[in-house]
Amino acid sequence: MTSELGTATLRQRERILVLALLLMVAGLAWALTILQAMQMDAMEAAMWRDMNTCP
Amino acid sequence: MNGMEPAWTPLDALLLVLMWSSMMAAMMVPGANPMVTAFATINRRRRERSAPYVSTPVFLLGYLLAWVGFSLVATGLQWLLQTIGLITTMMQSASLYWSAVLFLAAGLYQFSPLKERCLTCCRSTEGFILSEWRDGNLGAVVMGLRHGLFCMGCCAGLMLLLFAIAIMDLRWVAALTDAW
Repeated sequence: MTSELGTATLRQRERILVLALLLMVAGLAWALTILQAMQMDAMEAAMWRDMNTCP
Repeated sequence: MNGMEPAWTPLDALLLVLMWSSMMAAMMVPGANPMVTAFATINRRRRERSAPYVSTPVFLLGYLLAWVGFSLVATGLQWLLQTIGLITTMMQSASLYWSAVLFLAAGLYQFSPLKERCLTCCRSTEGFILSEWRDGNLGAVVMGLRHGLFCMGCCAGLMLLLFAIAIMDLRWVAALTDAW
């Protein structure tokens, strides 16, 4: 297996494809994480607002 | 719960598993680049020789499955910590002592033999491929899964720290990603 790893090299186009795949997955995951964090912040702000407006 | 907080519904738990999974994918996938590239290189060589080969996303799927498994455990842990009042419903630490204990535990773990072994397996692409290679699609999933487990062993201490400050604090998540 190491000989296969040693002799084979990825073409530039394939290397870019692998990197693009990883970046796409990571980018989507970051986007989802940021969206969820923003929703959490909005929920927290709403909670504080409700607490402050209660009689 | 402590009487003040509503109980989790199955939907809450599912959303939290999704939250953890996306956060783990965001943090861990870029770091898997060397191993994914090595896997792609070998399969390209096999394809050139007309030997059976596996598509690279199959390996990545196994890697992500490992982190979904971690997310399930983390969600369970979050429920437990919230129930006993160590973290708030807003996923922030509720106790300075708890945070201090976590920092200490994470620091000690960095010097443990388990962390050292996982780090060796995780960073040595040739060593991993030599000892863990499996043929076929299922084999690729298992390889990805095992690589994910080694990565998990490397950064379990750092992941614990998410419970020490705030789970969804993006500055904290970004700092831990950088540390990894």
